[in-house]
Amino acid sequence: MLGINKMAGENRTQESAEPLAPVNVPGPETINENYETVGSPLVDNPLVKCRNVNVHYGEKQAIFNVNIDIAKNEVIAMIGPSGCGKSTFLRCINRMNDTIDICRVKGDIELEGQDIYNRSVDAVELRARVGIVFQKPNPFPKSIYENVAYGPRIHGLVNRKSDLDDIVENSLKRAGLWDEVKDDLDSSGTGLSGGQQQRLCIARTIAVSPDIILMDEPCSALDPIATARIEQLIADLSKNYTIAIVTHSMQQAARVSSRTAYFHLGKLIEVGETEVIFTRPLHSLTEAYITGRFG
Amino acid sequence: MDLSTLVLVLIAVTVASYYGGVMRSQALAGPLGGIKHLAALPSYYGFMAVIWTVVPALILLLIWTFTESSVIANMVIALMPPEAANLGEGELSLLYSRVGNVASGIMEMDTLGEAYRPAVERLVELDSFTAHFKPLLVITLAVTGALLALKMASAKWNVRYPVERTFNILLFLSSGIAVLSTAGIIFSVLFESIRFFQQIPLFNFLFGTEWSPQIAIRADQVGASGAFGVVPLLVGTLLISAIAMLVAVPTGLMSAIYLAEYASKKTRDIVKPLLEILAGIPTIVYGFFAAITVAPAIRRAGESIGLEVASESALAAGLVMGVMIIPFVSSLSDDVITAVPQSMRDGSYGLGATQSETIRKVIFPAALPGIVGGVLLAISRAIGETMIVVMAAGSVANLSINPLEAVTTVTVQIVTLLVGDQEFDNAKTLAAFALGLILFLITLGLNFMALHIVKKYREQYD
Repeated sequence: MLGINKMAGENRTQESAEPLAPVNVPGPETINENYETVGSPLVDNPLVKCRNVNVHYGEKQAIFNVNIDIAKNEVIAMIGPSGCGKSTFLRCINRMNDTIDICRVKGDIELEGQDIYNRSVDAVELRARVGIVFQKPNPFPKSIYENVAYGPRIHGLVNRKSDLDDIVENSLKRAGLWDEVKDDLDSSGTGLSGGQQQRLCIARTIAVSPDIILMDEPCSALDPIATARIEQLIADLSKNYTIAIVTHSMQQAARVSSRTAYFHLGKLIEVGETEVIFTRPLHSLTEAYITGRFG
Repeated sequence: MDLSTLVLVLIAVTVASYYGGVMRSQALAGPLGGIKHLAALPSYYGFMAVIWTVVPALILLLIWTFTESSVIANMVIALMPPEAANLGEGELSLLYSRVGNVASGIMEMDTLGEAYRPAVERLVELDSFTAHFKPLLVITLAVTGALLALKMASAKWNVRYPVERTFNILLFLSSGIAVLSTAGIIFSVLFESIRFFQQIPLFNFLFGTEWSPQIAIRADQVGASGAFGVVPLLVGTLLISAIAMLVAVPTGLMSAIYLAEYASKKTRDIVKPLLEILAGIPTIVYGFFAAITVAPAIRRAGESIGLEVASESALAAGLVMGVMIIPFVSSLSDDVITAVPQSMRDGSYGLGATQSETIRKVIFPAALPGIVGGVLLAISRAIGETMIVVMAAGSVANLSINPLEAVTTVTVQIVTLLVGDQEFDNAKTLAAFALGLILFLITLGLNFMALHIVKKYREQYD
């Protein structure tokens, strides 16, 4: 159903791409400093509102003037070739970039109407509301129970041990890991398989009840079966959570997301309904990427 | 020809053989159409020639040098008059050295007697023979080896294998040197200790609470009982080490955490080398800092609040030793903290943990095995430390855990026992070796434990 069956490798370079792009949209040559995203980047009543976001690493600019909204309870996929800035952008949403000395973020990012880069906002509290799952599973070298209990403990979410037990159990259940680990919650989180570790990291994130979960290529270190389980999990979680996922796999984006954003060299080229992006992309660069002509 | 000239000539032959090998390989390669047709690169042919030059020559030189004196001695002693054969070992070697002195012209012939003339003449003859013949033979062997290697070289034979193998053996022998010297040290200490334990029972040594190593040389001497109980020394050592660790572990650990997690790159670049300067100060300088500055200061401070403080106190020595060990702890801890993967920090920050929560609950536990290993290494350093305690801790063997009193340590007593003219057959001197053995076993145990802990938990977070 999607325009992704043409395998990469046949026509890799952009020069040899057939001019398939519809007329009246800007071609690659117009991707300049003032480029405006095509498609539908903005929504009504957004949960996250990003305006004129620019990110620099030292002298080098990584993100150029990105405007995008994330709606409540949607799964938005961010795709694009390596180095296009999609992970950098994702990490702006919970200020993870603060931990990198040379990284500077400019522009407005609002979570439920509040500017998260405002001086009055504590990055620590923000990150409790905006959870993140990383590319490589990174459970703490603690027991499975302690891994999940970590967040609720540091945020003082519970007063009684039984409440904590409930949170741990619920989080592991939601992450689809409970049945596999319920009998050895005291064994080390690092002893699990890669896919289980990633689900543990998701459980750990859910445990602090975030408003939105950011996922930075959560399946790139996993095998296809573990990947399928995580994708199923994302579908289940989308009933209760807003999810922004960065992925290298277009099939994955097509499978899990309702909206897709295409980044190219630090610019947000196109945003639209996933089905539209993969069948009738507006921009020739998006078209070239999803048909596997480069990336 | 003396040894240094011989070595220079050998080096020259070796260099020549290397280039000879390279040129030979190029000559071989020429008709075939380039070095790519050789079984190995030209430098391997060079090294092959070097090995053939050096190895046989060196083996001959070593064997000759180590055996020549005993072979010559046997030949010379055989020519001595029959009464020499009846002498004991010590007297015979004394006689032989007199023969040697006459042969080299230091002493006159008549001090020995005409009966020894054949022996002396034989010695002169043998000495001049080896002096001329040994270098000649070694160089001949080297040149022969080089020529043989050049002759054997062929385009087909892959000389890379023998060359790599030889280097392999060379590397193995080098690592063997460290192991052998450790074994040598252990045995020398062990054998002397065994001689000590033949005089003083092991039980009295390990569990005796009195240390007074003076032994009466004459029967009428007083106050020289000769008690060898090691307990006061161990208590003193542990007391001072404990004080040192109380200073070094918290300070070192906290400075490591600051440097690894909080400090900006600029601060780190300044502070870290400064901290490491502490490790470069000679311990004897720490020693007089402790004895001249810290100890009197502690004494005055103690007196001002009405405490009696010995002028050589365990506290002074321990404090200064602690300062000395700070860079040890901080540098090792800094390394293990920095080695905790960034993904651990990201995971914690991503859940909304503050920096201090992340350090306390994630980074510190993950780095703990390495930190414990570092601390144990620091303790064994403290226990073996000598100069500071010699200068600042005193040498009175008090059995006391009061840090304001003078105590003594194992290392101080070893120094005291071995300084000056000593006989190597009485318990007082031999006790030093027994103490050395105890010290060695304690630090070995600590190091072993440290390595074990580090190894066991190292890969936990990967």
